[in-house]
Amino acid sequence: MNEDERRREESVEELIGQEWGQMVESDSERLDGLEGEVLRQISDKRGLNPRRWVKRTVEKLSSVYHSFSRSQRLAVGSAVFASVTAGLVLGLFVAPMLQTGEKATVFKVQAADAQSVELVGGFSGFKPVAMKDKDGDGIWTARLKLEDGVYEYYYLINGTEKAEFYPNADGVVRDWDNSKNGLIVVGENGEEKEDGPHQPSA
Amino acid sequence: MKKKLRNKDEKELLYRSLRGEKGAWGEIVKRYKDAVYGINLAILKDKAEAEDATQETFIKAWYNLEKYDMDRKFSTWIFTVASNISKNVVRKRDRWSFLKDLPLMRGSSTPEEVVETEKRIDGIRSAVFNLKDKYRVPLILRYWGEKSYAEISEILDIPEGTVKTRIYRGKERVEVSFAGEGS
Repeated sequence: MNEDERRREESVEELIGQEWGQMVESDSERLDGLEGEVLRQISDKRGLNPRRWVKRTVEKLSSVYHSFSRSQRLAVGSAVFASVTAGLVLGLFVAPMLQTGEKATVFKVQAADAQSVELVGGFSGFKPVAMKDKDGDGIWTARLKLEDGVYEYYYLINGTEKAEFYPNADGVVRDWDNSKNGLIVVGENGEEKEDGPHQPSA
Repeated sequence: MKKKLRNKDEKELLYRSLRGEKGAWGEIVKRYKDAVYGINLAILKDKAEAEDATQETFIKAWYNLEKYDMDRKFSTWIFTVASNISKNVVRKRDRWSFLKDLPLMRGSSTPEEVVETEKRIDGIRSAVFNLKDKYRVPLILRYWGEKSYAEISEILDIPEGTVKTRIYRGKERVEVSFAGEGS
């Protein structure tokens, strides 16, 4: 390929990219608000999809099971049978005697400037839980029933902003991205956390 | 004390989306909607259908986000989702193709727009649009989407060698067609 041919080829490549780019750009108005429509459609459907989870787990277990030899399958089968039996005995007879239960736990946060506030934490698999401000006093509330334990949590303001203010948390830990999460220890009588106030971003 | 997700890098937005943060996913949609639309348009050649396919791409991607390998390029993965959705639309359309003769481009509503569109679909654009799908889509991915041969192979699920051949031949046809229009 001589120099002229190479240049012509490069120019065609560039023109293809440019022309397509211009066309997409001229259509950008068509896509205005597309993100809002996508979010509207996925709302209330996200989270742990039990059907998908069961399907995928069965697929995984099945592939593992089929990779075993006959004797291994027998051993695994026996172990599963024993575990299920033990689980049933514990669940049906022992657990009711221990009388452990879920406790009402209330999260409150001051965020007067917020349009929406969600509570995100380990108790819901980090799926946001909507908080409410029924009386419009800027204090958003979520009431959850939680098992005893320690949970990480944070607040999500207006759907996008992670607010890291935990004045009344039982502790603060670092999230995977080095941002802060609050800790709440839920004990015998449940808990009540009142965090805030939230400062609007500049 | 607080963070704005819109300024955060892509990986964080994706991690947060995986956790179920819809706001983070909204930001991803905002960043990628034009690119995804461009790929869908390359496959469908129909603006309205490309728009619908773009929306469907992001909804489907949201529900399948756990299948995305964070170590790989997100654009390649989302283009793969887009390409599969558009190919399905083409398949469904083909079933009914005997009912209608699809024009070159649809979705331009006003007469002024149609005239303007027709005026602009000349030269290289017309040449690209008139290419067979098998040449047009890899060309767009390569020279507009800036994807490597390997990535195009993954997105379109065809061998890398085939990608190279199709890009070469597609380019050849565009050149010939373009040269013909210019003379």
